[in-house]
Amino acid sequence: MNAAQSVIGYVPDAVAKELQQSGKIGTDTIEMPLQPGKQAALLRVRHADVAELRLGPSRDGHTSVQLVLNPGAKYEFVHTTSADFTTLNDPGLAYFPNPGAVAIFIRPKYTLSGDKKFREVTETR
Amino acid sequence: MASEVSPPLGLCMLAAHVRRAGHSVRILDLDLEDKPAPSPAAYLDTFANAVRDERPAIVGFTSMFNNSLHAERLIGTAKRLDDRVVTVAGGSHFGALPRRSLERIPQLDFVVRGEGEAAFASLLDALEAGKPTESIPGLCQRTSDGIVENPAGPLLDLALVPPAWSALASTIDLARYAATIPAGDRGRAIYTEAGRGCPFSCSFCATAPFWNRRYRVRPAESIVAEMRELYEMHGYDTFMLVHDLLTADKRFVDGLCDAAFEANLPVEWTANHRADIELGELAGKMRRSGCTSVFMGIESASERIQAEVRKGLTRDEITSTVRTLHDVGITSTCSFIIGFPSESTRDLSATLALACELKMLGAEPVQFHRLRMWPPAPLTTLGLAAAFDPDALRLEYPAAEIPAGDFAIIEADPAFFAGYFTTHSTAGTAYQLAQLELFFSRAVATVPLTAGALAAMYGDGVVRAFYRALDAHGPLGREDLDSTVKVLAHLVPFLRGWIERDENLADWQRELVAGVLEYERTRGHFIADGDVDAADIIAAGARWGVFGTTVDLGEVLDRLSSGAPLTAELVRDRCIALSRGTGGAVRGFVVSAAAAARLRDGDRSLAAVLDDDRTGG
Repeated sequence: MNAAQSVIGYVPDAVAKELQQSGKIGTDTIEMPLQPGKQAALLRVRHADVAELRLGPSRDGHTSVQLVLNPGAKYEFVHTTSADFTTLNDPGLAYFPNPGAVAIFIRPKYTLSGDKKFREVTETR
Repeated sequence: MASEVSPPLGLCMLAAHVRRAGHSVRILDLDLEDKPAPSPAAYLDTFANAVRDERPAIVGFTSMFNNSLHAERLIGTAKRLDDRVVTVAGGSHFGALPRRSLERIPQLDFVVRGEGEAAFASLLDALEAGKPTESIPGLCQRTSDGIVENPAGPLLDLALVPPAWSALASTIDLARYAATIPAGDRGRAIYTEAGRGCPFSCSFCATAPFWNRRYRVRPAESIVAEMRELYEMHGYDTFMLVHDLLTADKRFVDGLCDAAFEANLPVEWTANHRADIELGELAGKMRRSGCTSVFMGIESASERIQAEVRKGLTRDEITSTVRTLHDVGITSTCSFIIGFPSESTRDLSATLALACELKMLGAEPVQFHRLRMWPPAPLTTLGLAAAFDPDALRLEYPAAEIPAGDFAIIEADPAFFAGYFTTHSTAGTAYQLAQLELFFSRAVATVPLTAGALAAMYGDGVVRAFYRALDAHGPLGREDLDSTVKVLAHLVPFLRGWIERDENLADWQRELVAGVLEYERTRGHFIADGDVDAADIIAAGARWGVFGTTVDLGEVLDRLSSGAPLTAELVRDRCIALSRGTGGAVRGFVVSAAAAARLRDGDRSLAAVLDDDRTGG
C-alpha cells in the first residue's frame, strides 16, 4: 500500500452531492472550510493536484470531504480574520500552529478518470 | 503533586538482554517506588526492604551523574545486609569511570564499562557457573594484581537486541508508570530505543564516545512493531525515539517513515536531529509519518565557539532548519550550553539573541544548560581547572532538601563527581552564569518578547547589562521560579528594576521594553487564571478581554522575528485582545481603534467574534 497525502474539509451537503456527480467544486481551485460551516480557515487546492476524492459522513448539513493529493501537490491553508482583529503570532500564546498534513493509507474509492471526472473505483482481487 | 516517572529504558534493555540469556531479573526503580512520598532517606529503606524480601545473589546498579551519590549508598546498603551479595555497577556514570568507582567504593565488586548488555550477561553466566571472571570483555574488577580494566568487547548488533518493553511485559508494570502522568496531559509518551551512537566529535559530549561514535540503529520494522504493541496493549501514543542522532542516516529515517506509514497507527514520535543535516523533503515525510518534534543541540551562536568545541554549526543553518521544520509542522526543541571556557560575554550575548530569535521562529522549548564536565567527554581529559558548583547540585534537585553533608562529600572528590564541577569561563563567574542560566531559561519561556527586545537593544552587551541588574537586585532563587505564576511574581519586578535603573537605555527604549513587559505580564496572568489584569481595560467578556498597550506589539513581533531593529516609533498606543477558546488555547489580537471604541460601547457583534473559537489565523 502506498502512502498518500490527504487533506480533509467540509462542504454543504448540496455541494457534496454536486461534487459526487461532477467531481468538481468551482472552476480551477477547490476552497473548502476546515470546520463545518466556518469560513475562518479554508483549504485551497487546485483540481489538478487532486488524485482521489472521498466523501465522508454528513452532519448538520455539512459533509466531510477527503482529498487525496498527487505527489508533490501544492495546497494552502488560508486563514481569514475580521479587519477589526489582526492575529498576534506571539510565541507566548498557543497561536494557530502550522497544521502540517496527515498521511492516510487507503485503497482508492474515487479516482480521476480520462474525462477529468471522479469515478468510483471497483476493487477487484 | 508527584510528577511523571518514565520507565527506565536503559535498565529495561539490559534486563531484557540478560533475561533472554536465561537469568531471572527483578527491576527495582526507586524513582517510581518513592515518587509518592519523596524524602532524603526513603529510597534506602525501600531498597533495603526489597533486598531482604528478594534475597538476590547479584545486585546491579545504574546511575547517571546526578544520582551517583545515592547509588553509592545503595551499594553499601546491599553489602551491609548480606556480604555474599555480588554488587555490579554500570551506566553512564560508573561505566565511564570504572577504575575510580572501584577505588572509591570498597563494597563494589564489578563495574561494566560502556555498553553493558554483553558484559553483564557474561558476568552472570560466569558467576552462576562458578567460572573465572577475569577475561570478560568490558569488565573492571579487583584482582590480586590490583584493579584490572578489560578492553570492551564488540558492540552489539542492535538487530539482535530484544525490544525492551515487549520482552519485559511480565517484569515491569507499565500501568504504574502511566498512572504518574498528570491528569489532563494530551497523550501517553514513552521512551523507545531506536539505536545508539553519534558519529560527530563535539568536545563537551559524553554520550558519543560512550558508544564509540558508531551509529547503529534497530531495524525500522522492529521499532514500529514495538510502537504498535505499546499503542495497542498500553495506550501509548507518543514515542520518544532514543538515539543520540537518529537523522544522521537519512536513508534509515526514510525507511522508518515508510514503516510507520505501513503500520498506519495514530501515534506521534520525536527524535534527535542536528541543524546542519539538510532534511529537504524528508522533513515533510517525517511529519506525515507522525514526527511532531525534534531535539537539536545548538550550543552557541558564536562560530568561534562552534569551531572550538568541534560542533561547527552556522547561524544560517540553525535558523533555516528551525524555520523549515516549523513550516512542515515539526517543533524544534533547541538547547544551548553556556559557560564554555573561552566564551566571552559578547559570545554569550549573541547566543541569547539567537535563542530569542529561535523562540520567535517557533522553537519550543528553548533550553539553557551550564557546561558540565561529564566523562568521557573529550573536554574532561584536557586538565581544565574546574570548581565545585553547588548550584549544579541544586539544579538537579530543585525541590528536594539536600543534606549539607552531601555538598562536602561531592566537593571532596572531583574525579568521581565531575558532573557537579564547572570550568572557569571568561563569560562570567560560576554565580553569574548560574543566575544567567536560571533567568534566561525562565525569561525566554514566559516573557520571550521582553527577553528578545532586551537582546536586540543591548546587542553584544546584554550579558553585561544582566550582570549589572543582578548586582543591583541580588540573586534569584530557583524555588521562586518553579511555576508560571511564581516566575511572573519574581521575574517582572527584576526586569522592571533592570529597565528603570540602567542608564545605558534611552528613554524610548525603556518605554518600549516596559510596554512589552506589561503586555507579557497581562498575558501570563490571563493564561494562568483567566483574568485580564491590565491598567487600561477597554472591555471584557467571560473568555476575553481588550486592553490598551503603550507599544505596537504587532510590529515589535514582526521585527523580532525578522531581526529588524526596534525603533522609537514603536512606542505608540495600541489595543490588544486576549481570548480563550473553549479548548483552553489562548489567542491574541491587535484590535483596531474603531473596533476598540465599539467594544467599549458594548458592541455585541464584535464581542461575538472574540467568543468564536475560529477567529484569527
